[in-house]
Amino acid sequence: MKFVNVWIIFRKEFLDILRDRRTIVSMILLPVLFIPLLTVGIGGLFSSQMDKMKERNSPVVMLGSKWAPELLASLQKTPGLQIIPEVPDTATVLAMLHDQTIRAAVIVPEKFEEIIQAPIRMVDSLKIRLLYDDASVESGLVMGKVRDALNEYQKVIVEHELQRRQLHRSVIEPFQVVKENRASPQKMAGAALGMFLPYLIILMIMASSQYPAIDLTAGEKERGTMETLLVSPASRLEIVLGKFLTTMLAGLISGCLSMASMLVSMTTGVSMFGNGGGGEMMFQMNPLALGLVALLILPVAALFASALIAIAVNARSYKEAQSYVYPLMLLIIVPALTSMVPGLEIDARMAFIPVVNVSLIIRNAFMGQYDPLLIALTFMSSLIYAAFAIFVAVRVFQKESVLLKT
Amino acid sequence: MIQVQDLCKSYHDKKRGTVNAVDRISFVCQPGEIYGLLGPNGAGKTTTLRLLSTVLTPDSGMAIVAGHDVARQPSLVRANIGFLSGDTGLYRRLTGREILRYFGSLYGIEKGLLNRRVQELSNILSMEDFIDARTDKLSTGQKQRISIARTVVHDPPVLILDEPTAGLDIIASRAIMEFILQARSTGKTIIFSTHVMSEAERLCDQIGIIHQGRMWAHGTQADLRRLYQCDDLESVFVRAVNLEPLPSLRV
Ligand SMILES: Nc1ncnc2c1ncn2[C@@H]1O[C@H](COP(=O)(O)OP(=O)(O)OP(=O)(O)O)[C@@H](O)[C@H]1O
Ligand SMILES: [Mg+2]
Repeated sequence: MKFVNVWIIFRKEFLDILRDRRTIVSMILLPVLFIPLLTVGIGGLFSSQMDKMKERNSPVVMLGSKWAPELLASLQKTPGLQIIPEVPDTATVLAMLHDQTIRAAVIVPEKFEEIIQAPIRMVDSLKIRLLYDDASVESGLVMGKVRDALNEYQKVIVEHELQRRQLHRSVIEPFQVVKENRASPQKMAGAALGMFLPYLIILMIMASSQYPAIDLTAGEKERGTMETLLVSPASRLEIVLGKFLTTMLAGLISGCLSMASMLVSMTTGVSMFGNGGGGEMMFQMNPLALGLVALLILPVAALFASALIAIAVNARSYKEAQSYVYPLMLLIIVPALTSMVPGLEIDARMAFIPVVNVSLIIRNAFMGQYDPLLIALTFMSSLIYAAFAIFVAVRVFQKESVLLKT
Repeated sequence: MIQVQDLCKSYHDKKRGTVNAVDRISFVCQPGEIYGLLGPNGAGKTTTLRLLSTVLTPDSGMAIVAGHDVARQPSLVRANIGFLSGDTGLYRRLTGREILRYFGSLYGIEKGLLNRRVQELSNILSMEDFIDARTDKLSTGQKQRISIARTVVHDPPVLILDEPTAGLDIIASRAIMEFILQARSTGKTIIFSTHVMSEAERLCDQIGIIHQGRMWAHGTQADLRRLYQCDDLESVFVRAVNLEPLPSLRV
C-alpha cells in the first residue's frame, strides 16, 4: 500500500464532497443553524409559553363561597386567578374542569368560616377540596397558586389562634426544613447539556457521514467513474481508505461543529436550560470534558464511516443506497438516545456496547464525572469496533461483483 | 503487446446459474496494431476487456499486458494501460484539469511534468475553452475529449477501449476514431470492442468475433472475408455468429 495514493484520493474526494450542496448542508449548515435553533428556539418558546401561562388569569371555580367570604376575598386578591364564585353543583364543576373552561376548583364545606372562627372547635380539621388536572401544565401551575393562597389563609388563622392562647409558634412548628440546592449552576447546566449533547453529536456525525459515504461509493458507480478509478494504479485498499478518511472527516467536522454551536448557544444563556435568559445556569466550558468528547467521537466517526461505506457500496445507485442506509440511521437513534434515559449509569459491561458507551461517557463528562477505567474501556472497545468495521469495508471493496454495475 | 491464452471467466448468477462469460479465449495484439473485438450483446467483450484491465481476475488462463501478468502484477498492468469505455463518467463537480491532475498524480507523474502534459493534451484535443469548467456543464463531446485525455495522460503503451463511441454522435465518434488511428501511428497496442461494423472496418488490423464467451473466428479482415466468402464485415459477422466456431481458426 502506498500512503501517497491514499492521500491523493482523500484530497480529491474531500474537494469533491465540499462542492456537494448536500454535504455542506448536513456537515456545516445543520450543526451551525439547526442546533441553536433547537436549543434557543424551542427553549425560548418553552419558557415564553411558561411565562405567558404564569401571567394569564386562569379561571378557578369556588363552590360554597358563601360559607367563606374571607377566603373568597383573599383568593380574589391572588394575582393570576380569576375566581368564579358561584356554580350550581359539583357535577357542573367536574364538567367544566374536564373541558378546560376552568383550570381548578375549590370546594368549601358548609359553614366553613363559621366553624373555624368559633372559639371552641367542635369538629376535627375541615377539608377543602382542591380539584385540578395534573395532565395539564397550566392546571398544575394554577393549583400551586391556589394551594399557596389557602396555606397563607390558614397561617393567618393559626397565628391569630396562637396569639389568643399566648403560645409560641414553635409549639406547632418545632422545626423547619430549609432546602438548599448544592449542585453548582455548572453541574445543573452540565446535566441538562449532557442529556442532549451526546444524542445530538452522535446523530449529527451519522447524518453528515451519510452523504459522502453514498456519494463516493454508489454515486461513483452510478455515474460511471468507479471503473476509471479501479483501472488506475491505486489499489482497492488505497481507494477504500481514501474514501473512508473522507467520510470520517465529514462526520468529525459536523460532530465538532455541533459541539461548538451547542456550547455557544448554551453560553449565550437564552436556551431551554437557561429558563429564558437567566444567567445563573450558564455553562462553563470545561476543556477536560471537551477533550474527552473529541477523543471519543473519533472511533464513533470511524465506525459510522466504515459501516456506511460497506453498506452503500453494495447499491447500484444513490437512491438504492439511501434506502439501505436509512435503517442504519434509525438503528443508531436508539443507542444514541440512552444518554437521555435518567438513572441509566454506565458500568464495565455497558462500556462494551457500541455507541451506548460513548453516549453515556459523554453525558458523565458534562456532569463532571470521570471514571478512567470506564473511559479507557469505552475508548478501547470503540476502537476495536471501528477497526472491525474498517476491515469489513475493505473486504467488501475487494469483492469484484460489488464494484461494477451490471 | 497483449497476449491472451485460454482465458476463462464465469459469473455465478442466482437465476441463470453459472455463466461462462469468457470461455478459453486466446489472441495476440502487437504494438502498432488495432485489435477489434466484435460480438453481439452479452458475447463477453466487456468481461474480456475488464480481465485485461485487472478490474476482474481470471478464473484460469493467462493474459500478459505490456509485459506484465494480469493476475500476478495487476498494479503494474494498470500503470501501463489506458482504459476508456462508452459509459465512463467524469467527476461532475471537478474541472477537466482537476480530473487530469488527479489521475496523473495517481500514476505517479511528477507535478511539473504533469502540468506540462495536461497543457499539451489540452492543446492537442483543443480543450482550452472548457478544461477549467466543471464537467457537469460540458456537452457530451467535450466530456468525451476530457475522457480521452484522461485515458492517455500517462502516455500508456496499451489502450483498452470498450465501445468507446457508444452514445456519441457522428462527429464525436469520428473524433474518437481519429484518436485511435493517431495512437496506432505512435506504436501503441490497441484493443477495442464495438458493435459498429463500419468502425471496425475502418480501424481494425485484426478482428476477433466472439459469441457466447468464445472466439468464433479471428484474423485480418481479408482473412475473414475470404473464409466466409463475403464482401463486407457485416455479412462476415452474421455468418460467423450463425455458424459453429471455426476449428481451423482457433488458436
Ligand atoms: N456481474 C455479472 N454477474 C453475472 N453475469 C454477468 C455479469 N457481468 C456480465 N455477465 C454476463 O456475462 C456475459 C457477458 O457479458 P459482457 O458484459 O462481457 O458482454 P458484452 O459482450 O460486453 O455485451 P454488450 O455488447 O451488451 O456490452 C453476459 O451473459 C452477461 O449477462
Ligand atoms: Mg459490453
